[in-house]
Amino acid sequence: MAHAMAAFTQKVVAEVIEVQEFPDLGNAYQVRGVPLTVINEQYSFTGAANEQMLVEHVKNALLKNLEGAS
Amino acid sequence: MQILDDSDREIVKTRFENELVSEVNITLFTQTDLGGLIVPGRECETCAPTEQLLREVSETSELINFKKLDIRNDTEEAARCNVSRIPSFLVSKGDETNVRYLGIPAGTEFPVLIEALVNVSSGEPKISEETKGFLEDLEENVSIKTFVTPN
Repeated sequence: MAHAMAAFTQKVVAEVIEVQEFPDLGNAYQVRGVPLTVINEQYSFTGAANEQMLVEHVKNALLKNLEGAS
Repeated sequence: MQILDDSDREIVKTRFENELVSEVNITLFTQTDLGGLIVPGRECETCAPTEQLLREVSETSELINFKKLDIRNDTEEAARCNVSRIPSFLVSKGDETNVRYLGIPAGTEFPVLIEALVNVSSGEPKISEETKGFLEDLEENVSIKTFVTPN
C-alpha cells in the first residue's frame, strides 16, 4: 500500500525491507513482529493496515513531527 | 532452474498484458557473481535468487526493463539512489528512487513486486480519490518503511 502511494507521488518514499535478510535493521528498528511500519523514522505500528488506516497513521506521524518541532 | 513455475508465469504475464501501461524499470543493486567463491564480508545468500526472480518477472513483458548494478562498482548511482545494502531494487519510470525494496520479494511478498510494477507503470495506483487528495496536499516528504518476512 505504501508503494502505491509512492507510485502516486515522489513525496512518499516507500521501502519494503525483508527483515530476515537484514537483521541489523531489524535490531535498529526494534522489529519484534511483522509487518512493522515505521513512518518518518519516529512513528511506528505493527500489523497490516489498509489504505485508510495507513493514511491515518501518516497523519498521526506528521502531527508527531510538528509536536517534535515545536 | 526457474523460480517461477509455468502457472505463476502465465498469471503474471496475463496481468501485465492487461495492466502495464508504459515502460517501467527494475534497477537491482547487487554484487558481481563470485562464481561460488566465498569471500568473507561479501556473503550474499539472496543476491543470486533475487536477480533470477527479477529477471524472470521482467521477461514476462516487453514493457519491463531490467538493469543490474554492482554496488561496489556503480558507486555514483548507488549514492544517488541512497542504496547501501544488497540485494536492493527500485521500481521506477524514470530516475525516481522512491519505490524501494530490500531483499528478495518471494513467497507472500511476491505480489508486492507485481503491484509495484503495475502501479508505477500506470502512474494511477488503485487508491481512493480521498487518499490522492491527501497525498497531493503533502507539504513535506514522508518516509514509510515496512518490515516484512515472507512465508
